[in-house]
Amino acid sequence: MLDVKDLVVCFRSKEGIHEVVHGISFSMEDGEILGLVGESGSGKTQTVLAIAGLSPINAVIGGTITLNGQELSLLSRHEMRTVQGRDISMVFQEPMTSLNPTMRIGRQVEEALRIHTKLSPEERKAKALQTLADVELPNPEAVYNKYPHELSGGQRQRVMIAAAIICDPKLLIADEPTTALDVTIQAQILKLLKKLNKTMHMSILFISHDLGIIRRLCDNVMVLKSGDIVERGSVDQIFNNPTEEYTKRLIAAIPSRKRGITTDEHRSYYEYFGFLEYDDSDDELEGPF
Amino acid sequence: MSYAKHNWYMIFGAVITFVMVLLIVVGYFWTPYSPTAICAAERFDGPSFAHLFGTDNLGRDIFSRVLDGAGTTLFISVSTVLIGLITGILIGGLTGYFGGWIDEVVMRMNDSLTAFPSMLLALVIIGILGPGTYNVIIALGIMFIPSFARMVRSEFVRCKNLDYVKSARLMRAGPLRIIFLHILPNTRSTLLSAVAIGFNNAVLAEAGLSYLGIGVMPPQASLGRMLSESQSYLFSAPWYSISTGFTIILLILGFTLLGEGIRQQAGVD
Ligand SMILES: Nc1ncnc2c1ncn2[C@@H]1O[C@H](COP(=O)(O)OP(=O)(O)OP(=O)(O)O)[C@@H](O)[C@H]1O
Ligand SMILES: [Mg+2]
Repeated sequence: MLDVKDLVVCFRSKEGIHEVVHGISFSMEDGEILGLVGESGSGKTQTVLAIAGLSPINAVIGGTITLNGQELSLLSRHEMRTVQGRDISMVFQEPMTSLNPTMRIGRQVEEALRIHTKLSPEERKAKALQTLADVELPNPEAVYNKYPHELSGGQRQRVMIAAAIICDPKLLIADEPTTALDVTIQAQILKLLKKLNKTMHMSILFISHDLGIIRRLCDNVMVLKSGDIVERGSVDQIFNNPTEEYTKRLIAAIPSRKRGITTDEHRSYYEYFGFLEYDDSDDELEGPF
Repeated sequence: MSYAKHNWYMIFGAVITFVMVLLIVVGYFWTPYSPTAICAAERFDGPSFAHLFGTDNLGRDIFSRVLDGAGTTLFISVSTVLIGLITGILIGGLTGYFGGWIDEVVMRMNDSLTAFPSMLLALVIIGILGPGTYNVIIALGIMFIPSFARMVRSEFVRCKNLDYVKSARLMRAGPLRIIFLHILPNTRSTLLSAVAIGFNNAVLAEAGLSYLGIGVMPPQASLGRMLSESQSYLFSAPWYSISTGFTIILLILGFTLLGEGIRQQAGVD
């Protein structure tokens, strides 16, 4: 579905050109949840921004990105709008700045419909309310008319997800979407993402520092180290048999309870955090809510 | 957040400004006497019930003239601020949002315009265009553009990297949609307080130009013009300069308090 080949991201500055992503290649299947981990500054955000076409103005991008067989750099502006703008969407880290403070929630959730569809205002509103219900916001009618400052962090993140999925994107990019939330809310949002992934067959590219979260949410993991992919594989493979020293260090950096290397430790981590009941038989996210 | 503290700046500013504007609007349709009616028998009458603020050197009713003159001053200020604001939003918004070399070029031009003392710039423009109400508006409007443009630009630079603007870009919303729909409303508190300060400066600048005799031309009244006339009779008819000066002070005070109030309000939430 998504195919990234030799992706290079450079920054131009007065001192010259400085490369932060060094020709990485990877691909994603339909419905896959791919985790992207790596220490701060390893280039995770720049990689996904390049895929979304949102790189900073001083960035130079190389390589090819193919979405459903269409190479993004070859598209005309108009095609770009439908392909990149409609099929890829993104949820950001900070729920405080990811919603426009002067726009009502309903208006923001509908924005993608205004741009990409010819629905009438009534149809848009119905679809927005439906989507707000899909992200499990209680009382969508009331939320629809509110401003962001009237919502909690977790509610805002749900609104953000609603705005991101309203046009049925093929790929949802989530750049540390739960880092700013407290642990219980985090678990709810993760559960929601997992549910949307199942019901909407939407692939998710999930960035996180928290390997515990990656382990529970993702199918596969990709480890990025200063702009290179050092390891990629299924969650089990990476967590149980990390081959690279760097990956081992990342795993070791998780507090021992969170490490999730053995089943016992794994279980105690989730019990400790109290947000996910650990269930060996079923790899679904289950929370006490 | 939990308890509401009264924003006294806002309240006083709004009340003063409202009363002044109301008087001016009334004065536009009705004044006790014609502001230009000369009456030789009533020269330099002190304040009385017939003439609240007394009469001037030509026996004209000062209260009527103050209402009329404040209207002229306000009209000039509003037009001036609008020119500065709209042009500033266009220039600042486009350069701030797009950045790059256009930004560099326009902002350097802006800088060079700012390098002139602003009054001098207005004097030069009037020198070229000649005096008169509309030329004053043009001169002051141009004088105001750089500061508005700079402020709008910095707000746009701040906002364009926020996540909600990134989401709009990801959806491929057009640049104009992003500039006017997604970013501009978020600059409103900064803009509003700048507008209030702008009015303030405009009132002063108009008064200054008219005082120098190169602004509004007689017999049209404006506060600056009247203040300049009144100084010849400072001792024989003090009510003339006092009532005119006081009106200017009230206008400016209202706008200043309003601007400060808006600024504080924005800081609160
Ligand atoms: N606008 C920019 N100009 C120049 N260099 C930049 C710019 N943005 C990011 N970088 C550099 O790119 C590198 C990768 O940054 P990136 O934001 O992708 O890291 P990250 O893996 O997302 O880190 P974090 O986990 O802290 O979010 C960093 O070394 C950073 O200094
Ligand atoms: Mg990042």
